[in-house]
Amino acid sequence: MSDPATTFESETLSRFLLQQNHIRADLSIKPDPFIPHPYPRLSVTRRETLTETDLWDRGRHIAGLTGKNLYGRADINPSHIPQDLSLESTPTPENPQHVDITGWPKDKPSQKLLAIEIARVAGKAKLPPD
Amino acid sequence: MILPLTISSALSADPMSSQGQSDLAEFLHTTTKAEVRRLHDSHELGLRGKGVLTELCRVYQDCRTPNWDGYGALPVSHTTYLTAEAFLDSLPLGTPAPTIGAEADGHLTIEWYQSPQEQLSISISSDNNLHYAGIHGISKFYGTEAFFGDSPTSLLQLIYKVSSPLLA
Repeated sequence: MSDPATTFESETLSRFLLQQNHIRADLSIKPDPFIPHPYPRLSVTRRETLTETDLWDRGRHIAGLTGKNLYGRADINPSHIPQDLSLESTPTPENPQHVDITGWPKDKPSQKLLAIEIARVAGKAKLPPD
Repeated sequence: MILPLTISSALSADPMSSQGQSDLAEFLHTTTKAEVRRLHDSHELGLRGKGVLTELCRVYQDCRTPNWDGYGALPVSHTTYLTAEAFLDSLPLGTPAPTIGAEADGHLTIEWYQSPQEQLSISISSDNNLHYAGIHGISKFYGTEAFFGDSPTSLLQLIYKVSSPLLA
């Protein structure tokens, strides 16, 4: 386990949004996409050396793997992630910048409260360029 | 046509007869239920009239297959959909309209959101549990309530709390 505030301090973490109903009309993001499942960890992508274009391409690629549309992304500052959670670098062949947010409680209400906190710090969704 | 005949039958029934009382009770129950349903369909008072049930149906259609979110989500079951529909129908007339969503564990969500500081999200599961979490100003709340057909009073209070403007 690592401290989110130090390990990825300068890197934004992105959660790709593949469901339109996860984005509210005012572009704020619902807590729904931050509920960890099927594992007790939440997949995000660290910025690292990726440009903005690279990041969108990565999102489209991930969406395309399952035949989904990419509706946007949530950018999260690691230093704003609730202290109860941790970050773990878990690169995959498809996403070398893959990171898991771990340390989630098992009970659903506690997960929902943490998801609300993450959605709050994520602010508005970034929409993919045309 | 049916209504006057039913009223006539109800009024002509022997008040001392248990069968008559039963018919009258059934008539009143059916009529009241139909009137409540009509009010729920109204644009001013009802969530059905405001399109919330249509949104619920749309989200269910979008999320009823495995991996609907691209991250391995469980499908939303028909039982969960029916539970969510029953919960929405159980809310009192005049309840502010929520929005509908879904979570990767197959739960449907019903959300009242005014701002990052005023929000409540209720997750509906297939086992009739209502898991909720929310924020109102500096207060945070979360928990689980069982749903047996009537909306829990504690959740109604939270719905009205987050739907009311925060006092400065």
